[in-house]
Amino acid sequence: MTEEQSLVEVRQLRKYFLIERSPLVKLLARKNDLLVRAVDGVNLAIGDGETVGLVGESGCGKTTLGRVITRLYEPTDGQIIFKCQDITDSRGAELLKLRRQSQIIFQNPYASLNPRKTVRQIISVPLQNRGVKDVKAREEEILYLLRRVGLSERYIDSYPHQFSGGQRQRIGIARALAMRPKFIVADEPVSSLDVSIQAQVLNLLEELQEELGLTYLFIAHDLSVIFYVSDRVAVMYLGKIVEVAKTDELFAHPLHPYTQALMAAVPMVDKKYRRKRITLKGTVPSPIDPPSGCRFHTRCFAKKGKICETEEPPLIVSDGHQVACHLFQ
Amino acid sequence: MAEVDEEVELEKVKSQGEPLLELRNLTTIFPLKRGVVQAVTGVDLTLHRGEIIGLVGESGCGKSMTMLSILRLVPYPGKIVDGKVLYKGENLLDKPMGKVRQIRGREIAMIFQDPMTTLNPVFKVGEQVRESLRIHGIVGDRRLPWPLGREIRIKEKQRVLRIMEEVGIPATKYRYHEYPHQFSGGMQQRMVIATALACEPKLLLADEPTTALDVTIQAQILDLLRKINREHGTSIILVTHDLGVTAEFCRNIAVMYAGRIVEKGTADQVIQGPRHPYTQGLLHSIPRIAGERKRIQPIPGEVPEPVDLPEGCAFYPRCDRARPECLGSEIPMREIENGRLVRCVLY
Repeated sequence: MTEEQSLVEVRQLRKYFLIERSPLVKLLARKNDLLVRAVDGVNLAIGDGETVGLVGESGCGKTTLGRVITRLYEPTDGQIIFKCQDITDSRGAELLKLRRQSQIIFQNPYASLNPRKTVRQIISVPLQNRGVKDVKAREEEILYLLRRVGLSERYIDSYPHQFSGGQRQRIGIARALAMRPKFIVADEPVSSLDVSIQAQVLNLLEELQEELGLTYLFIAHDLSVIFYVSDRVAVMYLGKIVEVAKTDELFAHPLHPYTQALMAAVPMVDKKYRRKRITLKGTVPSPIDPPSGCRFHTRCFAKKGKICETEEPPLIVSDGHQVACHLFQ
Repeated sequence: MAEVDEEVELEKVKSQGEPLLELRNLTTIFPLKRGVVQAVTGVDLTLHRGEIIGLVGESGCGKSMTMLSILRLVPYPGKIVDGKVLYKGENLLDKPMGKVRQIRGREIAMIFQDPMTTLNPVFKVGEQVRESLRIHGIVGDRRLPWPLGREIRIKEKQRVLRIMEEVGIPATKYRYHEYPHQFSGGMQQRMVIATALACEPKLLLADEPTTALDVTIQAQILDLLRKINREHGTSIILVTHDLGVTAEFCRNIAVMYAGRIVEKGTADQVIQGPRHPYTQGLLHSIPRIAGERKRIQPIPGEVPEPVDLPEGCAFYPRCDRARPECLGSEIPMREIENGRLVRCVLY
């Protein structure tokens, strides 16, 4: 993807979390501070109007990446470029401007809405920040947003606990839309919903994208959801992106062994699309002390040899894919 | 080949005699202030030895309550008001609690959804597995005095280590003495399964055993359950909301909606040719990784809360083929093909 086309781009983005130990523990137990490498050198470009799916197992850093891109977390290192502007160190008014353009939909609709505020109050906040000062205009806009996300207008003075999970997620979406953003990070927006409700929310997000020209970074652990919504997919493992490709391409020919295993593990409804099961050994190692070399080598079934343990494979273009594996160097 | 063998074997088992578990018209209600919640309404289910049944449905449809009703673990104020739970021909609902307790864990074991809340954080995991062996006195009488009691404890521990190994936990000797927080989610779930398997139960009730886990770990756990089913002939009822899991894992499927079973059949029958509008809607609303992308069609509306449901079909308000006769009287389960049951007026 060339630079002009991309709306958001991250370069060598890193986010480390420090787990500080108290001086006493350091002294007595001789333990040092721990560094969690949640996101460790990620390059990713998201085009205008595109949906990029980000998939990986829990703890691989996908949520952290989403939050760093929207500047909810400060990046430790690297660059974030939004509309050809470096926003890595934006402060004050500049940051506010960015916040207006990039919004986030959170995973848990039960935790992301303040239980003591009505829907009107919840959606008013972003509207005020956008500068809609007139109360009447604000009310009208709230009603419009509610209708847009498929909620009845009479719910405007209800509290979050009066809604079901699917409806709450719709309120979360309305709140994100209130800023009229260009870019939305959808952080597992459907993972806590039932299947029939999940489909409603997925279709809503798709309609909104067509109507408002939104760009999504869609984070999910469910591969079938990712397949459905994304134009391109990035697969993440332990803080690194291991493979990026167009959705159809990736699902037809996954290159990275981890992607292959991930796809084989998904239980399929249709018999003919079932893949031969590749059962991975063990679990994801801790990001506190990730394995040397290729981070997947401890569970990999297609290890090439010594090189996997010592050298980190760069993300290179191969066969229309971007893949980080020694097999394709 | 293996599949054919299994099929033949299963038929043999079936013809051998009575089913292992039979639910007849099981009905569980929760009388609340705002009305009576009909959690489970008239559920009929038959499970043979060595069989795996999938119970599918969305949250709140009563699938977990069905499982809890089998073991009479329904929390207050819920109560079982009607029906029979026949385990090896005996009705568990008529038995005194003491007898039921002897069956729980020993004959019928349950795996709960969330391993983090199932395991007690202040006890060593190994001891928690051993607890069920001790309670049921599997290895020997637990009330024996010191020298004998100690021997039994050692034997019990050895057995726990063997089970831990069987469910795929490495370095069992060390891990026996660890606490739940030292285990990852997948390993915790393995421990929960080990606890359930400790007494070699005949029947395993698995209530969403993989929902809290990642796909790669889910695949490991499902493989493990399949292995247990093959090697020990343990029957399994798998409760899940994931149609993919049931399609791959189960031989028979029962679909639940608002406390009732609306469709029953073999996995292939139900997945390939769903008959009930709800099952059809469910299958249309899941995104599938399959060739080209088809637009998913969500089922309109929300899952109803089963409070004072009207007589008739609970799916009526969301159904696209609803008719006047859907309401008014209860819709019976009809057999449309051999072993294929649907609760809908269309058939």
